[in-house]
Amino acid sequence: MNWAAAYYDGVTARSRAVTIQVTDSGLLLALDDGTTRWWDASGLRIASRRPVVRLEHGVEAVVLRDASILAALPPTGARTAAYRATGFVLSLMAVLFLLYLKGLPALARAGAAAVPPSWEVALGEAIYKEMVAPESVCTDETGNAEIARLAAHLAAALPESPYEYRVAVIREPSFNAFALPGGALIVHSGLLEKTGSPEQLAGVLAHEMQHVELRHATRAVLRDASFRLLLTAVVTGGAEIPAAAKAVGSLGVLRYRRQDEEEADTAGLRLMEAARLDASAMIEIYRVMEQESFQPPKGFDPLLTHPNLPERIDRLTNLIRPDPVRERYETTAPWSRTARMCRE
Amino acid sequence: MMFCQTCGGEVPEQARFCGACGAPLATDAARHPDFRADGGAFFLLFLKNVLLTVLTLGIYSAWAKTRVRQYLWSHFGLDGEFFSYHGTGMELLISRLKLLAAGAVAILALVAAVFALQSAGIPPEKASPVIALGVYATIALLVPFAMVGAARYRLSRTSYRGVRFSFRGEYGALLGIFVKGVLLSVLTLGIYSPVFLVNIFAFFARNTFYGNEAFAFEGDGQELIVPYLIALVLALPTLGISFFWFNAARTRYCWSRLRTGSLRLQSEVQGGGLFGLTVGNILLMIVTLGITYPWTVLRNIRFFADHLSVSGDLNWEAIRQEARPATAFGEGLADALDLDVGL
Repeated sequence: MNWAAAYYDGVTARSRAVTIQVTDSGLLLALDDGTTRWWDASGLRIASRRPVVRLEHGVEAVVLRDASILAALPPTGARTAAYRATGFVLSLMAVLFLLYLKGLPALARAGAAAVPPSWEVALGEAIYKEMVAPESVCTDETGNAEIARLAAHLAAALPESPYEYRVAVIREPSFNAFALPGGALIVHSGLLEKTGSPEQLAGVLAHEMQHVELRHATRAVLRDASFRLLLTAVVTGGAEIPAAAKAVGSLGVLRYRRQDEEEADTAGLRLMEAARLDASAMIEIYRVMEQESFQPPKGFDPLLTHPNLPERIDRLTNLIRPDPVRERYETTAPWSRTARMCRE
Repeated sequence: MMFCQTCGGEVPEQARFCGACGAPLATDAARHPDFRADGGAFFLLFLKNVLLTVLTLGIYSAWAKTRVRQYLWSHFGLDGEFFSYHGTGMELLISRLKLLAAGAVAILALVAAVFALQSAGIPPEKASPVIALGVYATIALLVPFAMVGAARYRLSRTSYRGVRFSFRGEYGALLGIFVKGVLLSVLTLGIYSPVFLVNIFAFFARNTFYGNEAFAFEGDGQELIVPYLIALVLALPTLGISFFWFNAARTRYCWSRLRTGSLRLQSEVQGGGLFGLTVGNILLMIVTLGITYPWTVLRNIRFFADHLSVSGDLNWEAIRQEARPATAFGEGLADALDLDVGL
């Protein structure tokens, strides 16, 4: 079949009338001056289908309004190019995925090792001043001494730590505790009051100390920043696409956070065992937390900063050594008094 | 009765292009560009782009951008012929990977500088302003570089009637305009800034070529100083709405002074129309939670096309292909800096 079209030679902008004859292997173009051009199907490109059909071959192009020619065209070389591009995208995805899973965490670990602990201490102090109001810190001397002794007992079981640990109990009813880079541990009075033994508080402190020892804050800064950099470098475009990338980035970062928590759980449990404390108290305090704080329903895990508690408890139950060397931890004052030290 | 100069077919009076072969017919009358985009089809393209981008961890975004341009260019017509976009997703992706490598090197250099200052005994509170200044200065120097690179890339991938556009402006010249513009704007307390904006437009206009035919721009922007000052004075009582009228005046000024050969452009954008367009777009986005974003893109282009008219003709036979090579690196850099370099 034949189609009438306008022909552009790619040399000037002049158009010429052409009659296109479609064959199985390409197009035969009969120009108005009697000359012909042969377009092999392998070099044919469909540049546009609507509002006009534009076919290109090298620098030449034909334009026509009758879209029926599209159905008659022989298969073009576009398919091979599409397969090649798909292969490239898939392999790049695999590289990015490996970077996310292994590469960036490893780089962040190496990077954090190069950061002097004194920087972390300075950063931690700055955050402490920003976050903790001096009047919210509980001042009970006996209680603070008891907790400091417990923290020192745990720290003594750490192999050569560059950090000095100190614990601040602050008047906050919520069930929470956190660690700042450099060794400041902050415990909310709401958590302390729910502990039934020094070992239960030790379980919390051990987890937080390991966040500091494993330099999770520094690693998170390096890892999350490089992950977001990678995403924004590969993903740029119209306004809508970076928004999707940000959502993917946030989920990716949260997954890293949950891994840090698991790491601190495992290392915290081992620290309890090394300090010859009853490691099962760590599980007990997580059970208390399960009762005391809101637990999101199952299925929300990707949106959370911590793994869900039933899973954490199961993990620790499986990890705990069956016949540990345990010594009873002796306190100077009854624990129930220390637990209520912020009540005065 | 008229006859088509291309195929000799009979065409009705006042027809713009031939019904038989589609070739445009010569005319001297003013006419508007013909933007034929279809909201539904463009929305589906957009949806497919978002989906594939998420599925490919963002890698597809390079193709997404290219597909959108192919769509917009091929639906933007003049005298019965439509523009064509020749960029590829692959070249855009490769430019981004190169940029990523360059960015990583830059960050490592920055970290090394921080360590060097630290070990030289300079405390962080003294070093950080110097480092911040260095980073901002580098970004400021990169902006004109990226703008020139993006213009080179985009125009080199654009064709009309089989002939490529090209951009031949140099980085140094734009940097000069920027330095002069920023300095004089500060010294004149902002009075110079409309002239600065016109100078940037003129730089891009005068260095744009269609084949071997250069675009020309006449004007130095001085006529815009008064409208600018009026907008500035009214900005406070009108909560900045007065700037829509200045922007309309600037658009009219810039586009109406643009020509190539005997082809002249004329823009009739008015402040009220521009204001209505923007408010309409914002309302649409809010009411539909952003789903109508693709429509707002089309609305903007349609508004621009409807208020632009073209008169005169080019001698197509005399327009010769004179394509210039250009890489996608500047385009990637412009993306990374979040610059919107409109065509």
